[in-house]
Amino acid sequence: MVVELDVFSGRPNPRWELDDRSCLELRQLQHRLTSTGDVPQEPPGLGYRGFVYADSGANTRAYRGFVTTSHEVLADPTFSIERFLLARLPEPYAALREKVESVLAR
Amino acid sequence: MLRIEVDIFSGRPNPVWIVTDRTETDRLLKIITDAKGVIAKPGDGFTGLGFRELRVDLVADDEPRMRGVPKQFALASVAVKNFRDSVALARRIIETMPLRSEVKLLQHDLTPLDAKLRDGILERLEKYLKAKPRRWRPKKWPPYNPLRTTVKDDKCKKCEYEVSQFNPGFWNVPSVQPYNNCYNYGRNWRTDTFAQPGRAHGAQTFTMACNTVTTAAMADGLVKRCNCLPISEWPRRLMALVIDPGWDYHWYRHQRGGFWGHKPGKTAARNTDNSSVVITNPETCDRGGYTDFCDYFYAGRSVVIN
Repeated sequence: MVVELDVFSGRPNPRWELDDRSCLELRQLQHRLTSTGDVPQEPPGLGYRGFVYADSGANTRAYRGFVTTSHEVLADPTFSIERFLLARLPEPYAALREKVESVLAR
Repeated sequence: MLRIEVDIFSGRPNPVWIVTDRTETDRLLKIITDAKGVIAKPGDGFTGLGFRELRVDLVADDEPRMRGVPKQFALASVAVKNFRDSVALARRIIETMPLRSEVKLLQHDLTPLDAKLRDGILERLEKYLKAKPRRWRPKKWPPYNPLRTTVKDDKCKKCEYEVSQFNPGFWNVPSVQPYNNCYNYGRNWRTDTFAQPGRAHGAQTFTMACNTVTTAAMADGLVKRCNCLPISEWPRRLMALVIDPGWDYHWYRHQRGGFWGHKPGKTAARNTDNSSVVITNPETCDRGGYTDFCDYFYAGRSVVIN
């Protein structure tokens, strides 16, 4: 599964592949989330816009406590998905963790 | 026979006369043959108001032709190589302007040949010699495009650039949006390669700072604002560069209507900032972490990006 941290404007976003174990954990995390009728916040133009990943062909975006798939919106009040993926950010982008954490902490 | 016309008037017919004297014709053509760089193609010189040139036509098809003398030419044109000698030659011809032409032409009704006219021409010729007005070539206007307007730059009045109608629909479709970024949008060139400053010219940078990204973009042909681009660079864009220090860069493009458009990464093109406010000033709009405002640039048609 390929994950993309949607954060840059000019440069290509960081993209990396999750190993099998992490994929499984991500699916389990997502499975625990419940559907919500709340409308997710619209990401800004510039800056952190969430994590995007495609599982079984369906594009999913995790952004500020909401996980939006092609057919539903899941509530993730503890940012479990975003924190999980942030922890697996490849080393060259490690310094971005602080940047994203600061957005999640708002 | 020679037809002489002093190209000087705008409304009235120009002074015209015919030199029928064979000796005079031969003498004049001989001088022109011997002199170097005194003739030019008619209409190639100054085309403004006032004295412009003296035109000479060989009006018969059986005149003996002299080497280097075309059937029609201009003297005292600013297009000649030897301007001073050419003006002197024109002066001599004007001084011999007949005060009562033996060949009556239609033009003589409105512009009769007389001493007053001759002296007036000579007076203007002297002023023309001193001023030597510049050659003027008509501007090659770009084709009409209703989506594009040329504007004067507020910051440097002598410069012009083109602003486009905001057209996000061009960019915000699945086949375009993910493959084009802010640099594509700023330059207004859909490359579908997520273009990077300098990459087309082997000058891409990986250091995200104003000076490095500026250098990379200038390798693509961007120039700093107020270094005016000629009309041959039409369409010319005004772009603004900002930096998220150490991380990323971002570009804006000035649009028709006084606002700025941009396309953050793979996201949709828009004209609003991070606070959803229409961008009228990229220096002060909400740019999130892109805190460094670098500079403004012009990007002409010769700017190649990839």
